[in-house]
Amino acid sequence: MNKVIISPTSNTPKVILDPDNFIFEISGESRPFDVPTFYQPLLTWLEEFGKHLAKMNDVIRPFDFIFNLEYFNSLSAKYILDLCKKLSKIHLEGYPINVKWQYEDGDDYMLETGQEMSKISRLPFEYEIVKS
Amino acid sequence: MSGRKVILEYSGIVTFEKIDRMLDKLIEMPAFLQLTRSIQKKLYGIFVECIENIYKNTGNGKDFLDAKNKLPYIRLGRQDDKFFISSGNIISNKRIDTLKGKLDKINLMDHEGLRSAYAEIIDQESLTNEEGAGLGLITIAMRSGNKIKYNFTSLDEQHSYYEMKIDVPNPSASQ
Repeated sequence: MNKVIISPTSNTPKVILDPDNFIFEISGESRPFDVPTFYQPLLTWLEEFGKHLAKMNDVIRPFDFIFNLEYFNSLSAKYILDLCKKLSKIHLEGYPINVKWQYEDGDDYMLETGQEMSKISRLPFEYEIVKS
Repeated sequence: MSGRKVILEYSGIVTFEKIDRMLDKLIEMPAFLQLTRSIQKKLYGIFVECIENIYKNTGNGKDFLDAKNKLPYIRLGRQDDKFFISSGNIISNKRIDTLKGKLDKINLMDHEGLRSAYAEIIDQESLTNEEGAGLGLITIAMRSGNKIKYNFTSLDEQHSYYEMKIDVPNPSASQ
């Protein structure tokens, strides 16, 4: 399965979806010019990733999916939640996915939005404070 | 600290590229850099929602050019012991009742109410443009911890000038 590497810009996050090395991270700022166009391919990729895991015969070791977002605008929030729903589906199928929701100390909004996304997607998050 | 000090102000057409340039400028301003990281993030988040709101409301600037040349504006500043972000732009009179309804509803919500409303909207299947759902306004209220002050001034039969002001407490002011 292809990996996805997207370099960050001033308005789009860095994305690493690397199924060979099991490195998954979305970090930085999210306020793309066209939010649906940015996130739709990532949603499709995660859907395919779920199918890819099902075809693998190896035992899957626990792996992290990291969200380390400094800022996301309100429409991005909807798509980030959609990503969480896809991850939740994979988790429900029995794959040991561990979502790490990273936020800066004092950024209550980032923590609270993470808590809401975890609740809605029914996917447990691990919350981690990171330095800016 | 007393008095009023403007940190960043802009008046004119708002394009996506202009937003990028404005934010680049904001995060490098000494008056912004000296704030605590927590306040920076709050102000930055509200500023982006406000400027994106103007961008969506005035799409390509076509509306305000027809209506008395009233330009949009955004202003971030400090007044006494708090910060403020104010913005203004032209909107169609047809949108006022709906917008006012949303603002009033949001202003009546406590923090838990805002969180619930936020969760409900982002969970909607068909949300492709959050403007209609008021998600940006809910985000502003959640981030600021304050009510959104607003005002509509009639310009002509089709247009009004819509202004918002959001105060953000400065926790270090009491130290």
